[in-house]
Amino acid sequence: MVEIKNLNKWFGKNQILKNINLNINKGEVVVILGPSGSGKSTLLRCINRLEPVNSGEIRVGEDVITDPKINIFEARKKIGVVFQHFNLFPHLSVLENVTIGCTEVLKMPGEKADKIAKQLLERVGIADKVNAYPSEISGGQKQRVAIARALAMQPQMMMFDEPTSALDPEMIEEVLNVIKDLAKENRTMILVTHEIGFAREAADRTIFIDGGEIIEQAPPKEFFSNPKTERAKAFLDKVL
Amino acid sequence: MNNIIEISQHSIPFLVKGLGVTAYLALISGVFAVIIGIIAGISRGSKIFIIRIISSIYVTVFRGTPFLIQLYIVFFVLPSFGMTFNVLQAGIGTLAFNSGAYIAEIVRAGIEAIPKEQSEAALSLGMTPFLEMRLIIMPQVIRIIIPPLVGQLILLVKDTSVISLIGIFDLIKVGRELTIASGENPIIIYTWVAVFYFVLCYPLYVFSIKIEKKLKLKY
Repeated sequence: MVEIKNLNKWFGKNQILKNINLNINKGEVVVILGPSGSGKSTLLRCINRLEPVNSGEIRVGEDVITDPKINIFEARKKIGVVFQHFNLFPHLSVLENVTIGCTEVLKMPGEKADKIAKQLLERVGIADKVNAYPSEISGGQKQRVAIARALAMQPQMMMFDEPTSALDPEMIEEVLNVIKDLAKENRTMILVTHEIGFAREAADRTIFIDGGEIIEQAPPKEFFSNPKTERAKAFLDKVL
Repeated sequence: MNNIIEISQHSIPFLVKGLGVTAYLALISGVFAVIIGIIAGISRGSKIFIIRIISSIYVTVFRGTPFLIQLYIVFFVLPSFGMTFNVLQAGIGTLAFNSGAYIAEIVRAGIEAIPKEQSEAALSLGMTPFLEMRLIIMPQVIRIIIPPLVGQLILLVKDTSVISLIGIFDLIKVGRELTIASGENPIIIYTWVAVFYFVLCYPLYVFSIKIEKKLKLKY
């Protein structure tokens, strides 16, 4: 589903990602762990070309994201993204936030989009807030709307960039439950998160990144109980 | 006192005609100024170098020179290069481009005030930059820029008076003719002229406050 070959990314003189090689299978749930500043979020942002890469190749399904000739707007429709700070559109209602991609990008008729959006909002547990504006709902609710917004595009894969890091502790659970639910559905998902409990429970594979390199990857059970590298051990000592 | 009423009575019909011309100049050049300003303001943030540089030169030149000299150049100098405009075209066109330059800066500042995460969310949904600008960025920009934009349009209404210097019979020109050619009392005439300008500007000010409140309620 996702193939990354020899990916390098620089910000000025700093090399953020160093020779990343990674394959993610269809239906796999992958959690990326690592200290802050290790390049995890940048890696996600390269996958839908919010950040251009300096060298290497990224392929998502049939699309070679790193090919300058590709229609990136078409490719991005197939990749759902959920951001740390939700990034809802403040001038649109909850319902419009979810339908806008369907009607304007996928050119779906309004009624069909409304129906899909309402189903998704019900699924993430905010059916009663469809007419509210983002400023009127809580952080946890915002993030669930953002998840519904991404799902409404019926993407081939979903990416979550620290989806619970900006939430108050009591709201983390409600968002994680929605994501766990999705993980059970055989969806291809990549998550950057600090939620170790979530990784243990829902991930098929954990990837540990430090200093822009993939240091270790293993199924979560193996990784958490028996990390192979010193850097992973040191990281786990801090977070567990 | 009777004198004041008498002078007013026979001057006001002329002044109302002038007011009509001024309102017409303001309306047409205002519409064009907003269109030019939005296009130039968006262009200033363009990824394409040549578009960015052209809009930047336009804004700098028009903001860096007096409106009157711009008007004189368009009306008196360009004809020697084979570009001839009538008074109305020169007046409306120059005012639209002059005001458009200021509006462009307002629009640019408005766009820069929108967090870049909004753009990233829009692009991640597969929106093209055009769609993103139309559906996500500009609706939010308009809300922020309404007060300075209306301020600029009020200036535009008042700047129409400069166009009288190339011979258009707008409000101020009618006032001047009444006092100079017909020898009417300037105190009375110019007071009326001022009142009429105020009558044009005040609704804009009220409109600005109303729409600002309305937009605030929404989110």
